[in-house]
Amino acid sequence: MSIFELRCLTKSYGKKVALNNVGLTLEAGRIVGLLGPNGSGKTTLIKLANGLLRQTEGMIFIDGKEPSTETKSIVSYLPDKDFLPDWMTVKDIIAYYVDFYSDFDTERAKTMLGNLNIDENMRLGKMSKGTREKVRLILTMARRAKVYFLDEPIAGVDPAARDYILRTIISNYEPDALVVISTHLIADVENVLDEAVFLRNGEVILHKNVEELVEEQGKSLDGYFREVFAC
Amino acid sequence: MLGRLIKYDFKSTFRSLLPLCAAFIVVGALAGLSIPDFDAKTAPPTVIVVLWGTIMFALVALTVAVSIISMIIVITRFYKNLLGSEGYLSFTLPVSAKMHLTSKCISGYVEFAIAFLSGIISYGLFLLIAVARVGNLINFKKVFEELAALIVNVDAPYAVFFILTALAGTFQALIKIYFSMMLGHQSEDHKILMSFVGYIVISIIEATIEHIISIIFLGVSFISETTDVVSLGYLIMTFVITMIFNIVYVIGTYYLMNNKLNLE
Repeated sequence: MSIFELRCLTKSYGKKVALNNVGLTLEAGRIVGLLGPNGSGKTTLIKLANGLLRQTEGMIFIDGKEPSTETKSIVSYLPDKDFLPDWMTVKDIIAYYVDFYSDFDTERAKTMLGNLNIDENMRLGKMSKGTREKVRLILTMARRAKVYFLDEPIAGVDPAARDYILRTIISNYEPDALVVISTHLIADVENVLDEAVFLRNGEVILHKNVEELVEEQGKSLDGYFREVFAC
Repeated sequence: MLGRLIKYDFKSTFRSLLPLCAAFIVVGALAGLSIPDFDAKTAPPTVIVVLWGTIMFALVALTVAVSIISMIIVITRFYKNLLGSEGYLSFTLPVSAKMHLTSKCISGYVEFAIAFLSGIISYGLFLLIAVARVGNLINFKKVFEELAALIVNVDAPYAVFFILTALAGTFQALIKIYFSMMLGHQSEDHKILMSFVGYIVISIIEATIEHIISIIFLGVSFISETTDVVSLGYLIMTFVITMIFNIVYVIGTYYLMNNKLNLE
């Protein structure tokens, strides 16, 4: 069943076209890699789906509805920006999520925090960059959402942290939810992906099942990505 | 949801605003407690006079600081929470743009009111304590008599419109800043600078329109030295113009927030 659909989606910044007439349909219960080099339109697409940008043309549907207050209550979004308020403690930000998201699972969040020995009384502004990234991921994955948009969740962290992040995603997402992971670090994520969407210059150039693609091409997803996007 | 948004606006801003207002009130009281009795038979010791002078200086400095910092607190809360990186969290909450704007208007207004009230309390304490300590400082009986006479003679509609205009003017100060920030945010680069430019341009347009309307409807000019600027007609006109501007700014801010949000 389609839970996320883009119809003729175009987004321009002045004369620069970031997304050009994109059409895409994704189903629930899948982990999809939104893959492409820097500047290919991955972040723009996710921001549009979250209502942080307005499209120039086209339509976006999440669970049959255009981005709105209603869709925001079923979408859990991890931006590529550090959005946490410095003045809050971990406890404060958990209370904040509980206040606004009815699907937030406090126990799940506390378990993940406990596994990483993150002090709930610590101020977010006092944390290291890596710890803040983990807190952001925990907050995102502790929601029992229908759609997860994870924008570059493993960029800028060490390989050990990447493993932890991917494990957290795999072990915490709702099985009937759609998970969209945007990244250019294909090798790290390819084992967890069901489907791959390749974006180049704002256009979808491929949307395929990862297993089928690997079998067809006789090489890993990372290898194929390098071939397609070779400079 | 609105109540929750306001709660977090207060939590964020009260951390800086309340200690500042508390300091303002304490210094006001200290200024009253330390005032030397200049009319006493023996001159007060120099150290007491210097101490009082220092506290008075601190009181004046705090008056300026509370006015400026309360404004900065309101501006930074709006900008950081909605248009900065925190906006990625705020605008992905299941909350409408209308709710965000209402929350910022209510919390900003209350913060201005707290800053204003802290000034009243601070200077009120200063005067009361000073009079209690140095009895001949103010002839309170005379002050109250004059105040009572003023209240008896004041025209009721005039008083009502005076208060309404003051309240609407305070809201205008707030919403004009929000609107300027949303306008500046439309720019691809230099968003903060463009917000300042937007504020200046809006202020010039506002002043020009007010001036033209005053000449057309009342036949008076704001800049005329002979104008009776405290007439009821003038006050009503000012109130109506302020309300019209407020409506325009609210609609403009909401439109930009709802339709032209561009978090980059």
